[in-house]
Amino acid sequence: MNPCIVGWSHTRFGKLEDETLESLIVRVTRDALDHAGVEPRRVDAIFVSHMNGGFVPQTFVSSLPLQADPDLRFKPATRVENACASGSAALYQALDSIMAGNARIVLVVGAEKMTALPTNEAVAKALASASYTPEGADHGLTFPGIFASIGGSTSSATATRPTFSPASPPRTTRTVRATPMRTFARTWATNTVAPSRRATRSSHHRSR
Amino acid sequence: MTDCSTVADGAAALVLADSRTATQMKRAVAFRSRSHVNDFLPMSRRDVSAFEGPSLAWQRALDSAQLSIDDLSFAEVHDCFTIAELLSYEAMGLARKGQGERAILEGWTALDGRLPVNASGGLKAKGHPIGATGVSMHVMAAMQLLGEAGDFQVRGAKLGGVFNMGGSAVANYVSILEPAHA
Repeated sequence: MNPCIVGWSHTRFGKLEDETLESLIVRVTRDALDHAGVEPRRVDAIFVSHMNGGFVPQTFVSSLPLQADPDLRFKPATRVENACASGSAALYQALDSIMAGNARIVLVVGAEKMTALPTNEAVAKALASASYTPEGADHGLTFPGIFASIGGSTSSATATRPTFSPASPPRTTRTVRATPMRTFARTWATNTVAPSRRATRSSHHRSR
Repeated sequence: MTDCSTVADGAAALVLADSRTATQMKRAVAFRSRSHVNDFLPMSRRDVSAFEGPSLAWQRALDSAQLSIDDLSFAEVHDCFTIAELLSYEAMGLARKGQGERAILEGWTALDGRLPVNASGGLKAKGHPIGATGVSMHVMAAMQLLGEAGDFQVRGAKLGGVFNMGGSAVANYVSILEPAHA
């Protein structure tokens, strides 16, 4: 009962001004089923990987793949989320359903529309919802900031390493155990590593 | 700060079938093993740079398949930021702790290296539309294993690893894939 990948589809990634979340999901649904040579009526279940967190107003997306073909109507469909690993999360739910004998053919669709927000700050805020917000988002720390701190500094050994500790008491009324963060003492020479194959200088914010 | 994958739009999809149905399909890629490990969300509760969640996910996936990292033909790993890829090399056992950069400097991870990593370009080159990424990584791996990767094909790809990570090493998935029809 070992489930297999039997087809796929993949759009261009980038600033896709002519595509909405809905059009992306419908497109890859059609294309993957065509690629696999599977008739839509044979699909037993659908899992949709989508994080959102504020990128688009539409949080309820599980039924969007149904719009790709009339024969998909009434198929069971569920959105799955595990931050940037939502794709694997949805895929593993599909594998589990086949291994449990509950499905023979399952469609997994992963999509995100991140460039529709009006400001970089709004994008950073949506991304920060995937951190522990009392220690991250509430203190203006974005994911680039988090990973930059993990990477450490390449300047002198006496430079102060950033630490992750709540600067002020949490803004909830519940008591939270305040555990001080460990400092990240490791130094990485990340800016001396330049693999020729890949882009190295990509801004995390929209700059185009 | 600038070694970041980009904010992007995008989508990818996979069709899965049970093994019997798959025998009738033109293409089939099977899962030799897979593992899913979650770690605490607050970074104050752990040493993020130790990448314990990813390390355990890699160890479990390889052990349950009775494989070592040297058995893999290639890997697609979660390079949301450069440092994440370097730490991934350590978590997967490709490089010793603190020596992630050695894998690149010695050419181990190049397309013709001992373990090509992110022949597709990874998240940094493709962009990282969050919900699409994990699906995309498995698509890239499937393409490699069926010899359909075109100009980023890893020669003789027989076994591929995919490491997809959510947050800062919080949700960790490792899949080991192989062609289903030998």
